[in-house]
Amino acid sequence: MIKSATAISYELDDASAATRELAASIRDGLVLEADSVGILICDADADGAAISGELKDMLGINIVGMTTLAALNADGHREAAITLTVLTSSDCTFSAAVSAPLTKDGYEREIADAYEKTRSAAPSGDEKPGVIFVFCPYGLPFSGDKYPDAFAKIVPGVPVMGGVASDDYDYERADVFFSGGKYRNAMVLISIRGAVKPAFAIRHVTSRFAERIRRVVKAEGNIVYRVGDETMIEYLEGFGLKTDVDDPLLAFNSYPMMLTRDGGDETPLMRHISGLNHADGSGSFFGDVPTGAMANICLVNKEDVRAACRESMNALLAETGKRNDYTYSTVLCISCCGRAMILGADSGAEGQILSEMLPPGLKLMGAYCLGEICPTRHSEDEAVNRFHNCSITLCIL
Amino acid sequence: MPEESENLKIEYNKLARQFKKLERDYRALSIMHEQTERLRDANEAAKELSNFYNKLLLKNTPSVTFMLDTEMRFVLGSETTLNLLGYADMREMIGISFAALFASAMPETWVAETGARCQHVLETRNSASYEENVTLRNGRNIVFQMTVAPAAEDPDSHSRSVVVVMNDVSELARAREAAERASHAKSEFLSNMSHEIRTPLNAVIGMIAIAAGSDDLEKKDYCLQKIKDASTHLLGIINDILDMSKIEANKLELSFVDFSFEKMIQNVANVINFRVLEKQQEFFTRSDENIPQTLFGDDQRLSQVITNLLSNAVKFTPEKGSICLNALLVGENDGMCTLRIEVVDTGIGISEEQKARLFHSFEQAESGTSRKFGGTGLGLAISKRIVEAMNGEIWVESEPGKGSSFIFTAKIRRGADVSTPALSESNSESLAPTEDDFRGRRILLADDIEINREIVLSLLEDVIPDIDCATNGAEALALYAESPKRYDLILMDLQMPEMDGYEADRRIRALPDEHALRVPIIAMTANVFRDDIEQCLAAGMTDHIGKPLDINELYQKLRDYLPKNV
Repeated sequence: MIKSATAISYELDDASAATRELAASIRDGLVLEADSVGILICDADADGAAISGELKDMLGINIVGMTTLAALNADGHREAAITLTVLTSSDCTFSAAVSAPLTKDGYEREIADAYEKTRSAAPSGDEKPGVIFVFCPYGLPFSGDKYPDAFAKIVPGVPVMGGVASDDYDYERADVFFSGGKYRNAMVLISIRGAVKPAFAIRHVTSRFAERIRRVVKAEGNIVYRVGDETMIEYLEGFGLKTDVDDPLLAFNSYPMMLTRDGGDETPLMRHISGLNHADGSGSFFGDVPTGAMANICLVNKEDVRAACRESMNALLAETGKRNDYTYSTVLCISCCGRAMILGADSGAEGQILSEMLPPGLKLMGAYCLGEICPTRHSEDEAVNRFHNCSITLCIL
Repeated sequence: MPEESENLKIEYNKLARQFKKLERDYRALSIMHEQTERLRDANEAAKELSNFYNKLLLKNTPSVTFMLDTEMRFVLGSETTLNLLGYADMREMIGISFAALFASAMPETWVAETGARCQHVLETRNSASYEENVTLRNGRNIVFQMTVAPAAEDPDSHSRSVVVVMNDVSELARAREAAERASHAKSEFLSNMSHEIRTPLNAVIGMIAIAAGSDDLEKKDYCLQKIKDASTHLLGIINDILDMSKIEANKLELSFVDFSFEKMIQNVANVINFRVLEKQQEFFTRSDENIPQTLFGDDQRLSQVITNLLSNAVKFTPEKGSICLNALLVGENDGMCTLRIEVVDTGIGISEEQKARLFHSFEQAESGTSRKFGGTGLGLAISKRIVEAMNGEIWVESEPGKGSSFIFTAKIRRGADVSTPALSESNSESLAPTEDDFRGRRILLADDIEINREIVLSLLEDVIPDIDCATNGAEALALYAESPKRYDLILMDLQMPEMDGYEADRRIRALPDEHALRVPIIAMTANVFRDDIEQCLAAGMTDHIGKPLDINELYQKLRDYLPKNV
């Protein structure tokens, strides 16, 4: 089984002090077993690279991580904080790696190489991982869908869980870390092999819609040109929304687009607008938008966010309730930054709900991200991984 | 001091960080608030528009359409529903039970049954569609096409309400009844026709058998006369049926020619006199001297109507009764004369009920009439349509046992005052066929039916023995092309195998021989309507003669186109 401990520090200005605090807290709560890994989630103001480096030296384990708007621990989401979660096990292995810089044309190969590093580093490398955690940088020249798509080719059927690093909506300081290194254009990952039986849950917020359902007529990757008989911008303006905005991410934060595809067996996908091009009327999204999908704009409010959070935890616990042969220890929650912004002054609400619902003995960790990666379908033999927006995703180990 | 300064720096950093996050939150909330306001306004506008169209829909839905909730209370309905129930504002009705709302307008049993049906539909989620005749409380009778359907958000969910649509199909129901009556009348007509056609055919076949089995020449002559009578009668029946089918297909068209009204009346009288004499009836004609000598209209159709009325009068007037034909000019405006023609008899008369059906197709005064008096029952219907085509009216004034007056008006334009040839000049009856002699002339006869060829050959053998026969248009063309000047006239059937008469005519006319352009080609066909004749002439034929052949007409055509040897 996997055991874990989480620690928190608010020492953003002193990396060494933060490291000492985090390490001491972990040592107090956890005895490291045969293999371990540390996951560092920190505010962009903290020196994540230095902290991860010092923690590696101090704890003797690999530390991977990313910046976030707010980090999650058992007390809820915390801004201006640094959290460290250490996973340790005697019957699982945790092999971590950082990729080469990811490029538009070579990302598949670069991700495959990174995965290969984790495979070759693992004592039982030929064994299929039970789950892969990925932490991705923000602002790469391809959509978030490329991560799960790449893993579907490299290790088909293996569940992939993770997110895209965030900051305070500067979009300039969203980094990932790997044991002393800070990366703006590479991803870090952990392959977990052995006696691990993860379960997943995902929910978004969909109780209210603007009800101008239109079919996506022309889209390429994550850029949508025409929806119904309108350009993407005209479609948005049809809702009364202002499109001449400085920060499309914030301006459309409460109005993500829901995509449903013909056939009906796919979970609807949420997509956040990342940019608008007034020259050709197109809109770009964090994830791909398939031509032919039906689009509708959601009207998200605080209660939707809370409700989805409760639903996701219930769903996750229902999954774990099916297993009597496995002891769970840790819940990883990757939630969308947009949800935090919708909560506004109540930005701790999701963390509070999760904490309250967390069964005794389980540890909670997580982050707010600019894109979530989580399976929409998962069984022992198969996982269908997807990139999401405006969603809360949970993984339990 | 350095430690204090370091602490201050740390505090400053914390405050700066908090300020930055507040600034971020403010920025986010500002834009999100603005977007929310805008979207809410747009949504409100969209809702208002939707409400507006919903109201329009309810206002303009032509049927009684309403929705009831699961407790059978009124939710909403079309304005037609409000009108039916006597409400001015739908808001007055919302929440009131179906039974209470509809009790004021609809009969008690209807309310109970319809309520139960709505409840059943709600429970079973199965729609019901049916038609019912309802007498409203105000006495009005309406046939409703009813549809009661469950209303659910999706097919799998429970019904939230029931929708009732009541379409007033009274007109449709009446039309359907009328169509059923017409269909019944046609069936009866077919039955009558079967009788009417079989009767003269029976006479023809029976008389042929009698004649064949007898050596007595007088008896044979008697049989032939009866065969002739029966055949003429049969032809009349067939002509009536064809006329009516043409009228029903809206193909009745009048032809306009200058004609002598007096001569037309005289011809009609001549035709009817024969039958009047048979029944020892008295027959008078009175013609208004103000009627112009020449009229411009369809003399054939006009005489058809008068002949029909006179034939009926003769038929339904007992022996020694009297019949009078009156023709009056009742008005003239810009050369358009309004004639009033009356046929007055001392016959059996007609009841009011019979009058109502008299001018309908396929109906006689009573269905047994055709059995007793014969006829198709189409004559008056045909007459009515002809009169209407002449912008006139036809009606009957009668009482049972007191005779009848059939009267019609027709608007016919005054004709050009031209002298008309004396009746005798064109009266074919005055010239016996035996006086003609066309020996030395040669006719080409094209007809694919052997008996038709035989009839022509037999009828003409005494006056023109040189007739070459062709069995189709191609043969006729070949014979004529071989030696054009050999033929003085061509009798051409139209419907023939291989090459029809029209095509043969066109090809003959196209031959490079001057004779081919002027040789008389007379269509000899059973297609006898005016447009058939016009089609023949348009195709380049010289004239037309109808089948069955009238020997007098055939001789007249020969006289017209073949100079006699005498």
